[in-house]
This record gives sequence, structure tokens and C-alpha cells, in this order.
Amino acid sequence: MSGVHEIVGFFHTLALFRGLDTSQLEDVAQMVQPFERGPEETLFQQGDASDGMYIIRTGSVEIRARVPGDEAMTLARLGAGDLLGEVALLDRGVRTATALVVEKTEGYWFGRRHFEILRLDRKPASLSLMQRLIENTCVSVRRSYARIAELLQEAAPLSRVPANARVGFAEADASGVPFGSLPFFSRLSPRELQDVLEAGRLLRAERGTVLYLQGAPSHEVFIVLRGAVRTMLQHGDTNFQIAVHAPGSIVGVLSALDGRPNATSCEACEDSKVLAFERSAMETLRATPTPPSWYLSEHVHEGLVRVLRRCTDHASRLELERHLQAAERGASDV
Amino acid sequence: MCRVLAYLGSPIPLENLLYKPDSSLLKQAYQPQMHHMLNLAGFGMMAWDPASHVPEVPYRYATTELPIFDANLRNLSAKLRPRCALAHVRGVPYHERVHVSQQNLHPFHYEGTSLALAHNGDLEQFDMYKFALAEHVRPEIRAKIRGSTDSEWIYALLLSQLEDPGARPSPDEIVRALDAALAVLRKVRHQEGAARSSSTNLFVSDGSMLVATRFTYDFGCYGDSVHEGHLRYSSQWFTVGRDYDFHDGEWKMIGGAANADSILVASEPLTVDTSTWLEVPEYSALCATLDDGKLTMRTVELTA
Repeated sequence: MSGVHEIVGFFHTLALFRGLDTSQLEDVAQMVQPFERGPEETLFQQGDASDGMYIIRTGSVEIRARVPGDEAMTLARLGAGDLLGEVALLDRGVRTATALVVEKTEGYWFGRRHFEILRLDRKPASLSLMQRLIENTCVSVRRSYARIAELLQEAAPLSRVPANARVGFAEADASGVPFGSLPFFSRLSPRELQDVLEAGRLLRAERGTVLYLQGAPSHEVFIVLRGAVRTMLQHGDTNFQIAVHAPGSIVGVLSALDGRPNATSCEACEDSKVLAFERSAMETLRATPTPPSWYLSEHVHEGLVRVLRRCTDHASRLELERHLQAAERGASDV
Repeated sequence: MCRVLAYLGSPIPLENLLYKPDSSLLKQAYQPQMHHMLNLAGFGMMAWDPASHVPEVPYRYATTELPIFDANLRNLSAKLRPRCALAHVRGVPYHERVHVSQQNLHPFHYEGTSLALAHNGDLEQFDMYKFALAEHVRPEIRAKIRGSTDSEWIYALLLSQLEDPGARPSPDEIVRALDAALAVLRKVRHQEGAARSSSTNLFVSDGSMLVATRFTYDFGCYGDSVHEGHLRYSSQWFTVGRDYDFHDGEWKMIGGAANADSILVASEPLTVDTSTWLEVPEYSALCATLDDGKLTMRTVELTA
């Protein structure tokens, strides 16, 4: 379909590659593989392993998620210049939707393995690309929260309102925490673990303690060490639970990454122990060119993608409940 | 850790739930997809078949044998077409202190009551506070406890929270009673110093509706070591539609949500492909009823 020069020319027009110079774009262009599919063909199926990102040059693709009852919900229609499946470069999950070609579509496939090669070679292109991917994912997460808020207008769940911020927080120590069994921490050497612990503050949060509030400026991120916390979306005077975060999970990263106010509130749903980092401390940790920095970045990105996937699940369930309620009322316009 | 399924809807061949799908309930006894323990301590089932004699009275089948080798169950499941079923394969820790017996098989159902209950989970440190629960269980219910499981005590607690355990409660009353029973358990656990992750996924039915909770106490709280249950919330999934069968090369319901007349709730999907299933949210209950053949379903967050 095209040579490197032509691909680079196309990439220059994409927001994803904003800030990359021609030499960096050539590094990426040498890695991508052209694809071409006809109408009714799929680029990937829901449930497939996520192995890479598609960049559409021409054509039209519909993103559809299956829902119970053998129906499909159309999530988006994408065309020239759009990306799909880009979160595959950030984690190793499975596709949450099917990409169905509507009109003949051509473009480029960029595999996660290719991206990893660029990163291992410390190519500057990989750093810029990673930054853009994270920005894109942050936008997608906030858009997903907005979609859930829309759906909640029609189906308010029962829930609780947060207590006063920070009630119950107390200093804690690291005794009894089996760091070697927890995600992220298990990859650190004793010396690296010590450095990470010294960069943060160990806190005890009793059940119901609010870690941060929706709409407030972001000051800290938290890694759960024991117990669990939940993120919640405010809906009127109630809250809708987005996700429950187990030991090893990191929360508060969306606002820390995009600098905007917290999109959700977060409370301890069990008596918990957390490691809190000031945003600046986390940025210092992530920016330091050491293995812990790489592990932390991976952990942050995976956490972000997990929330994105969870939002897709909620949207599907709320849509389903809306259909069932409409059927109960005898309506046919959903 | 057990595996459970609950079905409510139009009559369905029982074998479509227990045997035929690629990850059917009985296959989950020896090859579950979503946890690592085998479920070898027996099988129990209650099924409400509208074509049977006295259809409101469920058929009960329970065996401490491995159900996959049970020819009677295989033959029976090809004949029965229940509109509601509650089935359970029991998983227990691998040691000699566990009692594998008929009395400990789920679902639990006391004579004179309408509700049956199956449990997927395990109350860690249960012996620490088992007898402290007694004061919260009505004496007439307490007298019926026969087995040694934490699950039967939860059932007894649930019945004790109902205004009239002999009546047929509405789904809302069941959710309130479940929430109250879970709150009693949380309080007693706290008083007695039990604070380890304990999953309490419950499946409750009277043959005309079902309520399923996805709930874990002290999730993420571990003792001397961390295991799977501390890092992953015990799973529970559901699917809705019509005619759960092998359609277009896969096991699924068809007909769309707006025309749904059936629901299937399970510890894990009955197929390796999970794309037609959704997860029940954590700390929540799913309630389903049938009204003139139409399914109604909602999820509510528990406050316990």
C-alpha cells in the first residue's frame, strides 16, 4: 500500500503522533504492518487477546459489544484517522468489543510487541507515543464516566453517600504486609521496596473513610496494601460503585495523570491499609530511569485500562436493565 | 469454594445447564475456569418443574458422590424441564477435618419454609464465632440446623430475619432480610475478632423468583499469607434472553433483552467464552422475577 515516506506523511496528520519529528515517525513507520479488510469482515472479535492497535487510513469500522440475549450494542463508528484497540499497547487483556468493517477499510496495524521493541531500544518515539496513549486513555475513561452518568439518569441504584473526607485516617506501619505476594511490590528488590515505601506515607483507613472526593483537586494517589477501596460516581445524592480495588491496586491515577479534578470519589470499603503518594512524589518515582519506575508506570497504565474495561461492563449492564425496564412498562422506543 | 447456578424462566432441559455447555456446572466440579480449587465434595439441586406433580414443590437431588460419574443424574437431567433450578457443586478445603455428608449439601431448604439457599464461598475463622450467631437465630429455626457448614447458619440467619419464615416473601423482602442477615454476621465477626476475607455469594429462590448476592466480608484482608481469594473478588455472572441452547455454534440465550423471559446466574459463565455474560457488581444483589412470562431484573447495592 505504501512506503515509509508515505506512512510518515500520514502519521504527521494524526493527533496520536503530535510532537514526534520525522525521524521518530520513521521508527514507528518501520514497525507497522498495512492491513486491508472488506465489508462484514472483522479486525478483531470481543474476547480475542489484545495484541495491537489499528490505525484507519480509509474506510469505516463499527465497534460493537455483545450483550446478553444475543444482541450487540454499537459503541462507536470510526473512520479515517481514528485509532482502535490502542489500549492493547498498555496492557495484556482481551478485546471488550468486536471491530466490524462497514466499508472497505485500509490502514496500519501496530503490534504490542513492536511497541515493546521501540521501548526496549529506548527510542524517543516510544516515550512520546506512550504519553499520547495515556492522554487518549484518560479522555476515554472520563468519557465512559459521562456515559454511565447519562445511563444513571434512567436507573438510579441504591447506594451510600460518602462520609466526611479523611475521617478515620491514621498513620500505619508496614508490619504484616506480605509485599512479596502483592502486584507491583513483588517485582521490587528489598532496597527498591525500601525506597518506594520512603517516598510515600503508610496510612490506615477504616471502613467508610473517604480517600478523595469527586470534583476536588487531585493531591495524592494510593496503593492498597490490605483491605479494599472502591471508586464511586456521584449521582444526585447517591453514589454508583464503579470498581472495588484489591491489595496491590492503585487508585487516583486518572487525575494525577491528566491534572483535572477527581472524576470519582474513593472510600475504604473494608478496614484498609494504603500507601499514599503526593502527586509530585509519584511523578518523581515514575520519571526516575530505574526498574521500579518502569514497573510503576506499567502498573498505573494497567489500572487505568482496567477501569476503562469496567466502565464498558457497567454501561452494558445499565443498558440491559434499561431495556428490561422499558419492556416491563410496555415501551418500544429503547 | 463451590460453584452454583440459578435459573429462572421458561422450562429448560436440565441437561442444558448441568452437562451440555462447554463449561457446564458439572464440568466446573473438576475444571472451573475462574478459580483454582476442585469442587469434589458432592452435588445438590432443587428444581421446580411445572409439568410435575404439585409443581410448586421442588424436586431435590443430592449426592456426596462425584456427580460427573452419576448415571442417575445424567438420565434425570435429560427428562426434567424445570422453570426454576438451583444447583451446587461443593468445594471444600482438602483436609480430613471437613465433613462430606448429605447434611452439608446445598441447597438448604427447611420444611415449612418457601426459600432455598445455596452458598458459594467460605467464612474463614467460622469456628471463632459460630455459636455467637445462635442468639440471632430464631429457636424454631435453630432446632432445624443439621449440618456443620457455615452456609446452613447463613440460611438460618436469613430465615430469622423474615417477618414470617413460613410465608412466601417478595424479592424486596428477601433483599432486606439478606442485607440484615449479612449485617448481623458482620457485627458478630467484628465482635469476635474475625477479620479475614470471606466470600458470601448467596443464591436464594422459592421457585418463582431468585435473588443472588455477590458479597465478601473483609475483602483484601489476609492472615499470614495472601491467596487468590484476597486479591480477586469471588465471581458471579448472569445472562438473560430466551431459550438457552446451542444456537449458531455457541451456547447462549437469544431473543434480545426486551423479549427476555429467562435469566441464568452462576458463579462463572457456563461457557469459556464470556461475551454474552455480564458480572454482578460487588457488594450487590441481583433480583429477578417473572411477570406474565416477562423477566424483570435489577441490581441493588447491599449496605451490610
